[in-house]
Formats: sequence, C-alpha cells, structure tokens
Amino acid sequence: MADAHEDETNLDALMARLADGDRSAFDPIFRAFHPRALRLARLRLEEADALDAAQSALEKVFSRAGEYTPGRPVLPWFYAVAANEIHAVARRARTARARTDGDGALPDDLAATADDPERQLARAELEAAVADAIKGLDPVSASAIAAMLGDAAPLAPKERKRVSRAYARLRHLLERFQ
Amino acid sequence: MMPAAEDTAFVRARGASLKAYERGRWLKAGLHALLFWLFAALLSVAFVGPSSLIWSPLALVAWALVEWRGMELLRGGRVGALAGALTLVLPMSVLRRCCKPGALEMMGADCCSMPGACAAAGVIVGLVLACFLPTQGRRRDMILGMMLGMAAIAPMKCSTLLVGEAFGLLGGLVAGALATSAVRVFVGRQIVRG
Repeated sequence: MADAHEDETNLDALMARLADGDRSAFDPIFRAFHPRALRLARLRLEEADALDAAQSALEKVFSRAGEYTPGRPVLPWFYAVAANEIHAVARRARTARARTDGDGALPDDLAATADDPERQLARAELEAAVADAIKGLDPVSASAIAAMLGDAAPLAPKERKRVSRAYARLRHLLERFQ
Repeated sequence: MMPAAEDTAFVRARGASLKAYERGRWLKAGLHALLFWLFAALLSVAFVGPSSLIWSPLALVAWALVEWRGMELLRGGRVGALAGALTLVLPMSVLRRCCKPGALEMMGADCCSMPGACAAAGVIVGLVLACFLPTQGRRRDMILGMMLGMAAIAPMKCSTLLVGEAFGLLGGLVAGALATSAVRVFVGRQIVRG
C-alpha cells in the first residue's frame, strides 16, 4: 500500500511536469494511464470497443493535460476525465448499435455482457465488490462515484473535488479486496 | 506480457495521445497568445500610437511559441514580456536621454531612431534581466524565453529598429549571464576557502 501511495505521488509529480510542458514525462505517465483506462473501459464495454474507448479517453486526458493543477492528486482527475469520455463512447456505441441493428438486435444490457463466461464472472465479482464498497460511503460520495462510473449523469467540473474525496474513501474501503 | 492486439493498441494509443497532447498545448497556447496580443496591442496603442500595431503579430507568434513549449522558455518569456511592457510604458526620454524635449537640437534630429541608442537600451535591459536567471537548469532556454518575451512586446516601442534592439538585448543577456556566473563562481570559491 505504501508503494501504491509512492507511485501515486510520483505520478502527481510527473503530471505536473507534463502540464508544465516537459515532454520527457509523457511516456511514464502514458504507461501508467493506459492499463487503468483499459480496465475502466472493459468494465463498461466489450473488448473490441474497450480498446477504442480507452484510446479515446487517453486522448481526452492528454489533450487536457494543461488543465491539471499541480499539487492535486492526478488519479481522481484522470478517472473523472476518462470515465466521462468512456461514458460518452458507450452511449454513442449504444445509439449506433440501436440504429444499425433495428428490431432484431439484443437489448443493450444483454449485448454489453455478450462475452466469455470467465470474463463475465470476473466482471460480476468486481462490480459486486465496488457495489459493496459504495454502500459503505455516505450518499453524496456514493452518488459522486456512481457518476464517475457512468451509472449517473456525467460530472460537472465543480463536482470533481467531491469525486476526489469520495475516491480516496472508496480506495480505503476496497483495500480488503486486494 | 501483453497480447498482440493490446500491444498494437498501446502503440496506436500512444501516438494518438501524444498528438492530442500537442494539439491541446497549441490550443491553450493560441488562446493565451490571443489574450497576450490583445493586451500588448492595447498597451502599444495607448502609449505609442496606432502605427506601432504593425509589429503586433510578432507578439501573437512569439507568445504562442513560448506558451506551447512551456517550462523555462515560458518562465523566461514572462520575465521578458514584463520587461518589454515596462519599456513600452516608460517615456522615451527615460530610455534614451537624447529623446528629451530640447535635446534633439543638440544631438541631431535622428538620435531617437539611432540603432546604437536602441542597442544600449537593450544592453541595460539585458543586464537587469540576467539577474533573474537561475543558477542551474536550462539557462539557455530561459535566455531564449526572455528574448522571445521581450521581442514579443518591446519592438512596438522601437518599431523601426527591431534588429538593433534585438542585438543589444542579446549582448546584454549574454554579458549579464556571464557576469552573474563569474560572480557566483568567485563567491563560491571564497566561501569554500573560508
């Protein structure tokens, strides 16, 4: 856990350098963000769509790197921006699928889980763990995390600070699942 | 070990993200340069006159470049722009004594537009700016940033003599940097001996 904290502190410093214009910080930041974006996208989308959604989310995050405020934790900011983008990609994909498939298509919730059983089980376990952890939060934090995970409306910029605090609490609650 | 598809996706996403990062920086730099240009144009119209606006696109280009690269170039650019704005606001007679009303007859009517006078002012500004240089790190970028920041705004004051002022500024910055380095090395040695 100390290593994870050290990693996050290191990421904060790297992101501050990138926001300042230091291009040498790009690669370590990208290597840290890519698997996280992919995991987040896989929670909501099928494998093929998840790769595209992760790329789209990363593009969004890096195009807004200049907006990052040095000194603040980077991961909540990253997750808020990435989750909003993945939410938007998922919504666009659903709309496109509904348009092209017509009446013969599977319902959206079934189509989203049309995956191999092992992956479905892993996803169900992870979702259950997150749902349990969210139950332990106060209602405001729970709604902020729900918005971040795309179960509610996208976040307004002023809500991101709340997400930052809620994220820290959720991470604490999820420690027992690691 | 990443699967092949994920590996390809990683490389593709890295390229796209790097492009997005540079695009984001250009966008932000463009917006800031536009505000900077507006500020510089207002300042030059108020203190010099509308004819000075001919050099205002330089402010846009120089500031966009400085903001896009960031880091020491931007930090130096801010100091340079501040110094440039000061030269723009100060009366001509403060920067060049021969521009004082009544002095023209004695020194020749073209004194105010002599490159030498502009270069001397540049040297003085350069020496002052050199005091803001850091002791370590990318001093070269900082000097370049100062020059760009200065070049973005000061030429509006000396609109016909950009080259003379620029060379004066460069000489002043280099001389100032060398002088401050020499003083620091000398003081450092004295402390070690003591």
